[in-house]
Amino acid sequence: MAENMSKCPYEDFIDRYLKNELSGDEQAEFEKHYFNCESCFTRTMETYEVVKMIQDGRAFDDSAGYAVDGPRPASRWRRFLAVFKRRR
Amino acid sequence: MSPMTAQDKKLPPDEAVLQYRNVISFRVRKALGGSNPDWEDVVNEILTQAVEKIKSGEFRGDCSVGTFLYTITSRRIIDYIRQKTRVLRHAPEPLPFPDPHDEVESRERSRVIAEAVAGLKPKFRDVLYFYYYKELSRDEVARKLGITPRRVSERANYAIKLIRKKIRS
Repeated sequence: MAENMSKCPYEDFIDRYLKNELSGDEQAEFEKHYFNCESCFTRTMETYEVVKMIQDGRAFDDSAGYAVDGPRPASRWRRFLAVFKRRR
Repeated sequence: MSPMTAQDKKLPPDEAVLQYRNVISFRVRKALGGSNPDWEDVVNEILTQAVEKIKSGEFRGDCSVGTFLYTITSRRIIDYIRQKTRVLRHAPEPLPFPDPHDEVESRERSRVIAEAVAGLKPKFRDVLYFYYYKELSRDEVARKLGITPRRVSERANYAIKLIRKKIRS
């Protein structure tokens, strides 16, 4: 089961589906797919549950200092690489 | 839920359709919002309608039962939203009062998640923070962290996988 789950090409759709970042056609395609693919449905549902808890809860509580300070910025080297990759 | 196979076709229509209750519920809740009190009624209507269509021979097996149910579900969701939009124009409904038990459970779950998130490596925590908590788009997160959009998805998926593992243990 775990092996099958990692092979499905639709797995890459999950996070963008939950964030409503897929196009209308992609969304319909993915929904039709998970009505027929148990592993994708299970992964989507599990991811959804965790994401909901992150959004609703206090995983990044201000008192922990995380939200106030925010994460560290990307290094200059990483930013340079990202720009280079985008240009290609 | 499981995809419909030749074996499923031997099941009585109501049993075959009931196997899809979870997937239909998920699709409906995502479309209507989890706090919408109508979602369960909508799911039950879809299940009833699907069983009737199979019994009456309207479903001839040209596609899988999963695809057939996906179509019924999508149509019902559209109908519901249209109907609700009309109603809301005249009399907006108040939000349902939160159940205190749900509140306690939710707080406890949040605490577990917070611990799991705190235990992640910073590169995974950063992605979760911007992508899911701050709700930036994948491209925005990629620009902010200096990584590719695909890498954002990979890190987010991996982080969720780690959190799920922690929750289970």
